[in-house]
Amino acid sequence: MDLLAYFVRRVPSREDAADLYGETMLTAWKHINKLPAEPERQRMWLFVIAANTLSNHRRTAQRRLSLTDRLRDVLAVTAPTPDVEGAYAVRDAVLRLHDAQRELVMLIHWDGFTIVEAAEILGLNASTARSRYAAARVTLREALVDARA
Amino acid sequence: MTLDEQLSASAPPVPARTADLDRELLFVIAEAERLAWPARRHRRRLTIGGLAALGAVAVGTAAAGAAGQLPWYDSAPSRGSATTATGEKCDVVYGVKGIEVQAHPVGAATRAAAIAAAEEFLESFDASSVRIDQDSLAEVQKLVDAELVKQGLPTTAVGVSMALTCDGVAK
Repeated sequence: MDLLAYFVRRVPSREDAADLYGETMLTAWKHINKLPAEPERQRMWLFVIAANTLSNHRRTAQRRLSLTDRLRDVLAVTAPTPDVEGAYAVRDAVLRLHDAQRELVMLIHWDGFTIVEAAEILGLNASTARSRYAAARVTLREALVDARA
Repeated sequence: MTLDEQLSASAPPVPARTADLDRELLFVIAEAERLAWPARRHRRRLTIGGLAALGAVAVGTAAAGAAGQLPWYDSAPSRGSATTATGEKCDVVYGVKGIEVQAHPVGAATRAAAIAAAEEFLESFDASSVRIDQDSLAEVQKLVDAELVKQGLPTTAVGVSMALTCDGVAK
C-alpha cells in the first residue's frame, strides 16, 4: 500500500498511479533474483525500482497496462483518507521546492525513509543529500513564516 | 507543531485501504509475475509472498478470491492459523525464494540445495507456532537460516516469503 501511495502522491492521475504500480511490479519480478536478503533492504530495493519507473514515466508517454485495468477502476471509486487540518499550506510549500529538494523531503517525510535511504533511492551521495535537505528545511521555514504573515 | 510534524502531516491523502483495493493490488502483483516469468507459472516454489509483503499487501479475507488465482498459494510449503495481539484470526503462509546477494555470490547448485533444504524445513514447520506481528517474517527467516547453517548451506541464497489471510482489514 505504501508503494501505491508513493505514486498517488506524485502523479496527478490515479490511473497513472495504478499503471506505475503495475510497471514497478513487472520490473521487480523480472529482477526478483536481485531481491536483497535483508528485510530492511527489500523495501529500499522496491522503491529504487519505483523511482526509476516514475522517472521514465515523466520522460515518456505512459502506456496503459491491461493488468491494471481493474486496479484503476477500484482506485477511481476508493475514497481518500481524510486530509490533516492545515496540511495544505505545508504541502504547497513542499511542492514549491526545487525538484531535487522536493523529492528528498517527500521521501523522508511522506514515505518514511532516512536521509541516507532517500539519497540511495535518488542516486545521490549522503553528504549531497544532507546539504540539499538542510537547504530545503531553510526554504520551508521561510515559506511557512511568510504564509502565516 | 514542529516543522518535522508539519511536514509529515502534509502528505497528500491516499486511497483508503479497503479489501477491494488489497485484492486488486495482490492481483497486479500476481499478474505481473505471470507476465514477467510465464514459464514459472506452475512451479511449486513460493515466490510472490516477498513482493506481496513488500508491496504492503496482505491477503485479506476479501482477497481470498485473488489468492485462489495464485498457484503458489495453494501449494506453499508451510501454512497455519494464529490470532494477532488485536484478536484478528489469520491464516499464515510461508514459502522460500532463491535470492542473490552481490556481496556473497552463491553457485546455482548450492542455491538449489539451499532452497530445497529451506522448503523441506518449512514443510515440517508449524506455522501456527509463530506469533503474527510485524516481526513474524524475520523470525521465520531466522529459523530457516539456522537450519541452513546446520546443514552447511549459505543463508544468503534463500529468502523467506509470507502472506496473511486475516479477518477484517488486512494488515
